[in-house]
Amino acid sequence: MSKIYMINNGYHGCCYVRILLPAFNNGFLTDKSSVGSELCQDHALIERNLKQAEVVVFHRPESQEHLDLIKILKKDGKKIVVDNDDTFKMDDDHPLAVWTWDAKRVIITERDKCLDESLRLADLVTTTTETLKEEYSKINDKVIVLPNCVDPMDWDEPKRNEGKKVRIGLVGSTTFSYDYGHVKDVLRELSDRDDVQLVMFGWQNKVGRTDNPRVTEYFEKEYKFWDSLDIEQIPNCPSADYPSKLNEAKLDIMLIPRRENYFNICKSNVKFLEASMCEIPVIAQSFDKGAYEEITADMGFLIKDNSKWMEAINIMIDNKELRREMGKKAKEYVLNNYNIEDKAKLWDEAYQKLIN
Amino acid sequence: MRQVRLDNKQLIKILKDREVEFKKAQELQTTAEKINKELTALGYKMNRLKEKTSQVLNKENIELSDFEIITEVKLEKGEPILEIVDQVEEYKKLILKKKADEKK
Repeated sequence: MSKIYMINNGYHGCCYVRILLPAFNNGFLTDKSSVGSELCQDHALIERNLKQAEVVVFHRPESQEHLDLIKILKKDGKKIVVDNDDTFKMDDDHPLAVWTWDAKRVIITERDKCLDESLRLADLVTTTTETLKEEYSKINDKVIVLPNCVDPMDWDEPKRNEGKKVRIGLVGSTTFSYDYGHVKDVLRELSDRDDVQLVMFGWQNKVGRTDNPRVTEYFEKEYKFWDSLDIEQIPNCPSADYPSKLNEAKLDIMLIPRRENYFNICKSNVKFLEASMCEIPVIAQSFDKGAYEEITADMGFLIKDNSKWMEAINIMIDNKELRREMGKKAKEYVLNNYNIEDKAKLWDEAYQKLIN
Repeated sequence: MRQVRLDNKQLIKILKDREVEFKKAQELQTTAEKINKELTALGYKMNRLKEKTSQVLNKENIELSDFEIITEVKLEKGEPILEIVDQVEEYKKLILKKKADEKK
């Protein structure tokens, strides 16, 4: 019986990298048997696994129920690991704060309180970046960074765009949290060009909007902007389908604009990792302690001065060979440094130290 | 608490044997745990491959009638073969078999 039991939550994308990949590659038990499956509802099985476990790992335990369970398990002598990969410290730049109405903000603050208490009780805290480590170290002195990784098994051979237009994409959170605000002119210019196809893969998508009328109402002005562009929209998809959908998007370039704020400083480089697995070179925002600083000139472009976006994009548009070389180099780099098959042992070693 | 030392050769041998057996059990336990973890990891891998199979099949747009389902996907002489079953026909067969069994 595995001595480690890992508990997912509703954040499927985060749990995929933070819980499932380490569990799958180490043979740890978890309450989700595959990326596409639902959370286990067999409470007797969960109870049995919890009883037999020596270490129980929670990803983002933000509810009172999670906190209560942690207290019970601790009383029972289990070692508790709390993992989190975003800051919940609310400020006006936090994506949730941007569009969350007041009543819900109270709920988020409550979630943050539960999370902080869980972090305090943990025997070990694991996270994704040095900035988050610093934040959590104020609550618990046993914090380590376990990097987000990729699993080669989830990524097929990169598909190529053989069309006449260069496909330039924005993916996921960059289409949502006003991270694109300072590149609107760039997007407009690209939209007007005949040799470029803008692609948006994410939440601003026309289909996704209708799912949440409250968000639709809040973002009305932004939707007008997106709808005024000539842009191909790919709907948000379940995390199990994400690698193949990203690959099928056949992007030639991925833009990763980010506002410089605390939330983004805490973010990991996962978007770069995913793009690289499809050999898509990125043009990413650069700022102090930012997630993409490791990208070297042979893998992509880093933009510190926002007036340079178009210059970098033009270099890539004009040079297909360069794009392909950068994409290949980036994939090679990611496989050498963020391959879960090599890195999974970091999780095992960290947990074994708690047992021995 | 107090300790008493015994000079009993038979007990020495038994305790030494116990030590040896305990070590063997411990080693086996470690091996079993390792194998168990490997089996769990393999189980996950099988699940993921199954999911990937479904994703590929979904893209193939295999035409199925209202009552048909794919029951098996396998390789035969290096070629992927799908087994498709009509559930209504299968149910009919089941009822006929049951009736035949009842007559016996």
